[in-house]
Amino acid sequence: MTRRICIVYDCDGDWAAAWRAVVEPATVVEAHSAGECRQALAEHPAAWVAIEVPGAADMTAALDLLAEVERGFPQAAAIAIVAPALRDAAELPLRECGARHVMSSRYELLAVATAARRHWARLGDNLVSDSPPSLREQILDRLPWGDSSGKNAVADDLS
Amino acid sequence: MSHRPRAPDLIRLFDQAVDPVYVVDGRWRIVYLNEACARWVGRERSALVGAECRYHSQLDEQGEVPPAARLCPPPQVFGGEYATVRVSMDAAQGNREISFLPLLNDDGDVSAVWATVAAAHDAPATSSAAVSALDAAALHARLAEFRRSLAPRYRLERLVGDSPAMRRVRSQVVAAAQCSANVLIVGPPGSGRGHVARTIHFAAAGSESVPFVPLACALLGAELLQTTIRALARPVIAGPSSTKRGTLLLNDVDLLPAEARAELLGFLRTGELPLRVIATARQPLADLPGDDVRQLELAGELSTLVIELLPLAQRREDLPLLAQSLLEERNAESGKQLAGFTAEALERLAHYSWPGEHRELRETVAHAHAQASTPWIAPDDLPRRLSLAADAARHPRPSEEQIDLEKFLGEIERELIERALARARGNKTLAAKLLGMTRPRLYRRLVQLGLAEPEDPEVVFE
Repeated sequence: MTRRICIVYDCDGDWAAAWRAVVEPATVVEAHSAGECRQALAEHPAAWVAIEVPGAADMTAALDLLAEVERGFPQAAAIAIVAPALRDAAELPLRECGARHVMSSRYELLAVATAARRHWARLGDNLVSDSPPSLREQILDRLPWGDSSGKNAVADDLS
Repeated sequence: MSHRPRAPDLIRLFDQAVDPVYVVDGRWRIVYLNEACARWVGRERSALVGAECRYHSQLDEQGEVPPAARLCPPPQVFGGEYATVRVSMDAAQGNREISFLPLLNDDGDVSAVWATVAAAHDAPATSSAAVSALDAAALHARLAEFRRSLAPRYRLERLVGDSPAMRRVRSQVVAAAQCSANVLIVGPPGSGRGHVARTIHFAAAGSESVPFVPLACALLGAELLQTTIRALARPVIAGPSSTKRGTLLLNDVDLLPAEARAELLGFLRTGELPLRVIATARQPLADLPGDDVRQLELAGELSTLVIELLPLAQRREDLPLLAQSLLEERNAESGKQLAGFTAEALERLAHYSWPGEHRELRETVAHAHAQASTPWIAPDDLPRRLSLAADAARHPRPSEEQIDLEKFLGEIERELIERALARARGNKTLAAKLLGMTRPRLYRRLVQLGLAEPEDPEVVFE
């Protein structure tokens, strides 16, 4: 699962911790400056990227970074996290520059984490396989309850 | 003894309420509104009670939408759904949010709609404070610069290709730019649907700087899409001198969750979205499976003008020009200058199936640009998959995979039973529960599939 990377560029690591809780077992890479974020993107060009915009003064830099992600890393998907007071004014510009979504509350995390999982799933769809899966493999992939090794046993939950 | 309020008492209570309240009957007529509502609308109660509130009402003498039309519930409310919409009667009062509650009769039909009006979350004071904090002028300047930097990439002449299909696309793009109708761009992923959408947007905007807002329908779930569409229905910050509407690009609208369709349809019908809508899809929306009425209605709303992008494999004559154009883009972005492709390399491009469409061609040209050691790109500079595909094409296709249905279904059943047993840590009662069958029936299948011995004392036949 090395492709499931979530880069969180925030001020103090709080958002990174929150993201880690909702996207496990994906790997969360923390960045605390635009430079660190660019470096992480260079290493993981298909990552899900969450960029915090803590204040009005950070807007221009955030717009530039989002546009850079959009153009330079077409396989990546970025979202912006803004302070609630900024959201109304900031949402449209952030989206226009490449933010797939704009969020401002931890209550939205679960829904946005689902979008991150869809992003990773789509990357999986785009992977080129040397030999296409057989019909049997395709059907087995779609059956419930994972493999039959018992790794995901839920007897306790069911009883 | 219980006291049952009489209707006049209730009406007196509503009349005294400070928030606007009104009721629309099943024939879309306003049958009641309180004083607060009359003040908000700016009309006498007597002028509004009995008035029909339809979205497509005739304009009044001043050429404005009649106030009653602005009180109209969205169509889904008459289908029995609760809904909220934002409206603005005038700039001084700011946005209000109307909550519509359908009132059903014994037959389950909507006999009336109860509407209450409250201040919207984006009250003017908050919005203007936020814009001020962001230094709106600086933001507009930055956005204008961003749009200017993008504009050259989306000129009409960048839609390269000489095939009849591409010529038709270019003429449709010109037509779309000259009107404000909704546009649906149909084509396989990677075929440049987003590029065509931006080309229409920039051509329509001309020299003005107007917003372009993409929305990924396949990525965002119904909940996020609904909140986003509501947020976008607010007045757009388009810049002080802008007279043109911006564009909302709904990417992969065929993957729009059903729950978000009604929301979008409502906004499209009421014209509340201050943006022109361009949508992309993998197939015409009318061809989508299912007979959901809203899906069909949405298809109708979005498909005013349909632009079809054919897969590259169906317009191979465009490949040389397209590849050359992409090569020149690479030349412009780097210090390395290449002249073009050898005839053999072009032939290899032409014989490839391009499952990744335009996006794959772009990556292929970038790869070849980096690999080439002479001014001309040769077949060896192209990614290996192109030569492998060419080799494979020379060999006969393997016969279709065949199955023995009985055996195959048996294998699937066995796999599911094994998975269920593993999931239930061998507990057969729980495994049977997972499989939706009785415990004795599971035992019988276990025996039949050779997963348990018949003499197993646990085995009980039905």
